[in-house]
Amino acid sequence: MSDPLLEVKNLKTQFFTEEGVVRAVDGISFTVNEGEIVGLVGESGAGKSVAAQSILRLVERPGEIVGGEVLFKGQPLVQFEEVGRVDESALEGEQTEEGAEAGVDVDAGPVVREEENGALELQPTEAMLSNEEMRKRIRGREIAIIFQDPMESLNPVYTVGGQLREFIEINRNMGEAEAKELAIQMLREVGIPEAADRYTDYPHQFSGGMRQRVLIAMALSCEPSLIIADEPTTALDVTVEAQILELVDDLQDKYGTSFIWVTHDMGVIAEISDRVNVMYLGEIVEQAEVDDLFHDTKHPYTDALLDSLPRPDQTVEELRPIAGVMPEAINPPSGCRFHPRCPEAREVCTRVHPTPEVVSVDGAPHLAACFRNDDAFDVGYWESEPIEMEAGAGFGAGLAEDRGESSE
Amino acid sequence: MGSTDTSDSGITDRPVSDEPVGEDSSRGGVAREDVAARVGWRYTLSQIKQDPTALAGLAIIAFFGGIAIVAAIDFYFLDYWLANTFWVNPENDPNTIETLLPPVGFSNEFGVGTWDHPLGTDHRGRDMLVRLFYGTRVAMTVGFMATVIGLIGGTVTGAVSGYYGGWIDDVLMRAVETLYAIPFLVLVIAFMTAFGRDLTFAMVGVGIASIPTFARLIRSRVVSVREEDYVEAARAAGVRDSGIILRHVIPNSFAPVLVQATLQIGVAILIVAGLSFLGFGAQPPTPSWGQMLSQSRNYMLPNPWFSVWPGLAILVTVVGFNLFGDGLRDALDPRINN
Amino acid sequence: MGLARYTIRRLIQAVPVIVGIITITFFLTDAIPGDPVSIMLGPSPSAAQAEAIRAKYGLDQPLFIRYFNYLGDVSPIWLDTTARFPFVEPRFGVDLGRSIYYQVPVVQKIAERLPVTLLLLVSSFTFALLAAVPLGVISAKRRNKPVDHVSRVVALIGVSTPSFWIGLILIIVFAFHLDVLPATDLIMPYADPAEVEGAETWVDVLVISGEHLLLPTLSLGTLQMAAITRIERSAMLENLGQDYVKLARAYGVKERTILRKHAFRPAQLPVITIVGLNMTQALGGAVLTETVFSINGMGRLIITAIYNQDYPLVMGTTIFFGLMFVIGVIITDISYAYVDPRVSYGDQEA
Repeated sequence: MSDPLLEVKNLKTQFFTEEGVVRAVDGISFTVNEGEIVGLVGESGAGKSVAAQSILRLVERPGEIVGGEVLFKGQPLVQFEEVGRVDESALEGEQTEEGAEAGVDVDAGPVVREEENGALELQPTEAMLSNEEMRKRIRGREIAIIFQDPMESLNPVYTVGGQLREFIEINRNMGEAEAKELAIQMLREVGIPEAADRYTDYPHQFSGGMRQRVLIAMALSCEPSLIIADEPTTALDVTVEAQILELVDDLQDKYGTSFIWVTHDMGVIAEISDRVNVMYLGEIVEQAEVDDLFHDTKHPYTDALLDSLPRPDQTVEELRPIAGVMPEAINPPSGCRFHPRCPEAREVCTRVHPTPEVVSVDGAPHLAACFRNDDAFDVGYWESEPIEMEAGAGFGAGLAEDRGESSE
Repeated sequence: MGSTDTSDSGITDRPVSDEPVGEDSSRGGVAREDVAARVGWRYTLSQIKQDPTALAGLAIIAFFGGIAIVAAIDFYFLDYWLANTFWVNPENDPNTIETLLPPVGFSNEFGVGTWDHPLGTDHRGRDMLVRLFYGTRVAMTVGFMATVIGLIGGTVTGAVSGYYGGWIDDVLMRAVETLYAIPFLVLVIAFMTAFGRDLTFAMVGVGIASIPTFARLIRSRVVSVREEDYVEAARAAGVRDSGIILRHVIPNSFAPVLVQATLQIGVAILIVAGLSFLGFGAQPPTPSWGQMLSQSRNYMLPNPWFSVWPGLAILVTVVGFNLFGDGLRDALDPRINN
Repeated sequence: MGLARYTIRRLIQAVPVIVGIITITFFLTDAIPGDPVSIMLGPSPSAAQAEAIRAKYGLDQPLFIRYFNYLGDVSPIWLDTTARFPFVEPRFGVDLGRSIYYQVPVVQKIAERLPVTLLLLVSSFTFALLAAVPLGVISAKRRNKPVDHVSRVVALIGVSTPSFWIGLILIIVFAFHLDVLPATDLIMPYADPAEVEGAETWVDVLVISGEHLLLPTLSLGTLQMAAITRIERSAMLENLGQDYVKLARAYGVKERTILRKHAFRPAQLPVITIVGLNMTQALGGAVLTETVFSINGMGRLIITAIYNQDYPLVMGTTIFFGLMFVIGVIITDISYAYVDPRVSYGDQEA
């Protein structure tokens, strides 16, 4: 098997706010191979969008990428090296100098990152691409991104065609006339009728679904190897969503582009992805091929997610929402972060923090971060005492409790 | 006219429900219950307490407000007792010969500045500081009252217009815009010429001229609030229109109005100063800052300081209102508090 | 073409507003106490004179007839009744009456003074824009850096200062103490050198005109400049955080281009709006500035008219002020529509 297109290793992104340090992405690792669609699924606030943006180093103040590695075709988009260790008491989690517009400031001094056991002092490596290199070589050209809200993603005062053409000019090294031709062609390709006329129209003259197609056209026309789709169908009607998914499927067959598909909708994941990563509170808790994930679930959270999907044959009483609310990423629960809401939680889950380990291999390796898969972890799960789920059922309960302290 | 509707910063002061406040995972997972803490008066107050410029503005307002009150008491009830006791007689004392004195530390053709008159004297020998002191009363009173008039008038107009829509809306808004079309100053001057060159009419005139500002603001807030679910619910429950307007619509539109009102007081003070400058405000011998500036024109060469102090007083006062108003706006706008 | 149609629509909408202005002016003036005849002729007019005046101005007639007549006088085109078919014929021309104080037609007085005020307004507005827009943009770009703090302080003070006071101080400093600039009057740049003191060629006239224009421009323009700076800054800040800016960045657009193109243009919308809203303040400021600098423009004209109870002149100048405002707002609205395609193309959706 050839080298993966994109490798994310232990990526960490934090937001330095007045209330504290928000550990939005807290050490995630996954890969994307050529030609595949990798899903990134989780509830609101799990950190999926931040992760997606971190890959392109688009994270803005007060957020910062503070650790990990992102390799794209072997090139380091994000890469740190250790400079030293800092006394825990000395740091406040303060933000470094804000310099460059996005993510990591190459010229700033060492980044100080909070860890559970003391702090590491890290610094971007020499090899890591500079902001200018990112801009010229990667953004748009190799990796493109589609944002969630098509309403907001297009500049209202410029024509749709003009914006599309501009991106093509930059990333395909074409002149204005050539780019315009390609733009019209791409609009047609994504299924916008009367593309040549619509070229001179403004965003507000398009419906939501049409706008999203435009964004897809933007991504595809730059011919990137990887497209990151950040909840592209969340803001759309179900019927429109179906059309978009079909379109993406066709285009993917045709162009062979890889995708990272970010969503909270398990249904979409089932339909479109090859492999899936399930995120919870800044971490990946399960990673598998899509069929494997749905039929041989290895993590209680994924289980709960699947269970909570309303089905046409269920009545209201039979609905099974996940208990509690996902807590803030500022002060995550100790041990396994899901334990306050986990029906399978045991005493050991409150103490030890699980990281994803291979629990089975069926095609691609199936990883899960849950001690219930005792063979992979060997922490004595089954010997440990089961604990009461802290979060009560329903929305309101558990709001006050999910602050990170677990019962002892 | 004015098709560009300015809706002010969308401030939802609505009762916080359980519904999530929109997917915001890119901001690092701020949980839902956090939002409940971000809206509401207590939070607003705490925000303001942390904002040094807003506090400075409040301090200035309090300072001048206090002076105004003291001056008013002295003027109406004590008959200048305070001024007489602690200073020189602010009225035209025929025995005074110290005209056009400069402030302490300076000297001009009329004499040397002394601590008796720290800021100097005017052309009638009256102490500058004392006159400024009493001028505060005029400025604050008119500024405040004019804004109140504009606020009430504008709220009624805007609320009715926005809530009912249709031809009522059209007619009212056209009327408002026509009112707005005549330059502030001209309108008030014409108004006062018609009804009287008194301070009271200045107040009413400026008040009427500020109605359009508030009417527009309220109207745009009402229009957006009108569509909210809880208004629908109230209407469905049979609550009378006036009840809905009073108890739901107006309280929820309040925040930007408060901001605008604070800023408007500053604006009103500036306008009244301009009016007084032109002779359409407080009539002599009642001291007002704008009028003092007008008088100072004749003495710009001999004693330029005469022109400096009243303008400075206006400047500081209005800065106070602007600072506080800005601080209020920042505190009430949840977007900025990210 | 959406923009042209929009322009025409606005112009047509302006007509009822202008009529409204005329109406308000008329009735407001009518409310002024006092006998117009004695005001026009003095304390003891002869009966014959009084009769003549009454007949001429139709002062005996009921209010609405007078209003209607006035409307007809003011309107550039009106209909007179005739005996022959079709019983009406158009009448052209604007008759605003005769100024009591100046004893010349009101229109003439206005024609004299209008260019001066226009020069002042255009000059101060240009100054305000040229200074404020770059300042606001830079302030937003370098948020919380020293430049930002300085410009915010300056803007705050600019918005809080009475414009006429700035004028006074400027005069004191530059005209009296330093003696480098004149303290009064505006000289039109196209004036005849022979009529301008100390000028021999048209270049001299330009220079002198500029000298006279400088202080009043600063005086009137500071408030506008400060207001525009503030709104420009906040609009830019808001825009820089928008998704479409993020997207542009994600596609590799240069930061400078993003600032100049993607963030700048949408940010101008609230700026244009504020400029429109401040139009009325600008006109009021013109009145004050003209007073301070003893400039013979429309502002002083209206003040003089009011002082002297010159009602025809008051009405005429008020109407013209309203007209200037209306035109100013229309220009603003059209500029807005030019930048924001949603306004003129708003009706169409896929």
